[in-house]
Amino acid sequence: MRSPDQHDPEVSGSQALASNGDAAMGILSLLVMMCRRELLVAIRNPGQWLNPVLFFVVVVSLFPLGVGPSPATLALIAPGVLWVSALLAVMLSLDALYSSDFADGTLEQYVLSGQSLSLIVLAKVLVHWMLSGIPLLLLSPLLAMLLHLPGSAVGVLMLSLLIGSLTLSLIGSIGAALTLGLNQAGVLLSLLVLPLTVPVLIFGSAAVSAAASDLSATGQLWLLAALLALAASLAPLTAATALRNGVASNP
Amino acid sequence: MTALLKADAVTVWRGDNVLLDEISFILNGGQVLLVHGANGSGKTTLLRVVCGLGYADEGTVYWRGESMPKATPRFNQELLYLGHRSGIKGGLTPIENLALFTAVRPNASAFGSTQLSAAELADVSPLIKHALGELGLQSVLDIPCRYLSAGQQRRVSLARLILQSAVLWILDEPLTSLDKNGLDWVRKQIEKHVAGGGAVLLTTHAALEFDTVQVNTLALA
Repeated sequence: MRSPDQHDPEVSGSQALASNGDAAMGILSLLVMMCRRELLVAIRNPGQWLNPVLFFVVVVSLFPLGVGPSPATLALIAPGVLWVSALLAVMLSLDALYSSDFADGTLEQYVLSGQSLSLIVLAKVLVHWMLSGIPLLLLSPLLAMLLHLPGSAVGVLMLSLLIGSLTLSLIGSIGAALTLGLNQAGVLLSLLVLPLTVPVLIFGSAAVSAAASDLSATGQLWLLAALLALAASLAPLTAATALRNGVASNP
Repeated sequence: MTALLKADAVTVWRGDNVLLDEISFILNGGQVLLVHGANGSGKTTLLRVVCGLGYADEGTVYWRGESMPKATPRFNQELLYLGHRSGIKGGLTPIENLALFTAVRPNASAFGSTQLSAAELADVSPLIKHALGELGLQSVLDIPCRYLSAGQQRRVSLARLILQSAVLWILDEPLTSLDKNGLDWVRKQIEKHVAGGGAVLLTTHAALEFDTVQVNTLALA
């Protein structure tokens, strides 16, 4: 026999949600929901994320034409060229991170939603990374071949881009939030963000160079991972504060 | 009794000019406060300061007797703000646009129940369809909002009035580009909200006349 206090699992679930009241929505479900929404917005607007990817491909493939086709020279400069191009491609896409949300009033609603703005920033950054960092990562083996990078270094190149591009997106989100509502924010954004991204560039290309000369790249990769941990813990909070301020000072 | 919302001598400067000069008001549950004033008199600025989107140079806003920066988390949970900018994404359909708002703070009572089941919370699109249908948008449910007319887009953002639970509505020109039907719908929703103990702070240039609600006015110079 069923005792009266045994509930149908679904009913008790909904009661638990209701008893939490406005906190009904868990952190994870909000994050997933925000990511899905942002992805949907981005997919409906492909120019925004295809641009940086195309930029990356074009810049890297221009180097053999400019420097000359000598495999030795190309292999020497490949780590730096790939990493600088990736860095600039990510920078190029940062401008649009918050600008459309700001223009159509979505950002105001996020600020007033009563949900954690840092979490919303994190979702936006993750989607930005999925659509800028991941395509770069997937294209990099092809472009590495173009530059005669030794095959042994390709794995490290991809790993360094995986960690590094997420760090770049996180750092960039701070700059994008600080320049909210400014006209022609691009230059200021680069000035603010580029100095912060230099360590990522240094350790990223150093890791690839080391792997290309058959040395261990573990140290550089761990340092990149440490930079990611630092950026992941501080950037969402900083960007959220900057966004709040930006919305308030740009009526 | 502590007032629901209270503004105490809110002052905002724009350069050397004072835009809002010691504005004070009290708004309780069951009341409508209509902010009057010419263009540029600071209506939007006042509303943004009250809901925390703008800074006041002097003065304090209180929510349920608690002063604002401290009360903000609670206040945000009970606020619904519709501003000049609609918060509607052009690339998303009306249902996709409203899904986030509805899931974050669903209004169960609008659908005749006191709470929503877990299944209803997991998929809010039937609720949104119901609300959009009430606003006469059933034929454009799957069309990206950028292809809708200004009035239809306004209706999409107004659907939040019935989809989201909130005690205080702050509506900045909610009737812009609405037709007669839309205006009547908003009037009815405000009357219903106020009858249920809610409060409304709004600005509008349209003639909005209520049958059952006493409207207080605040004139800005």
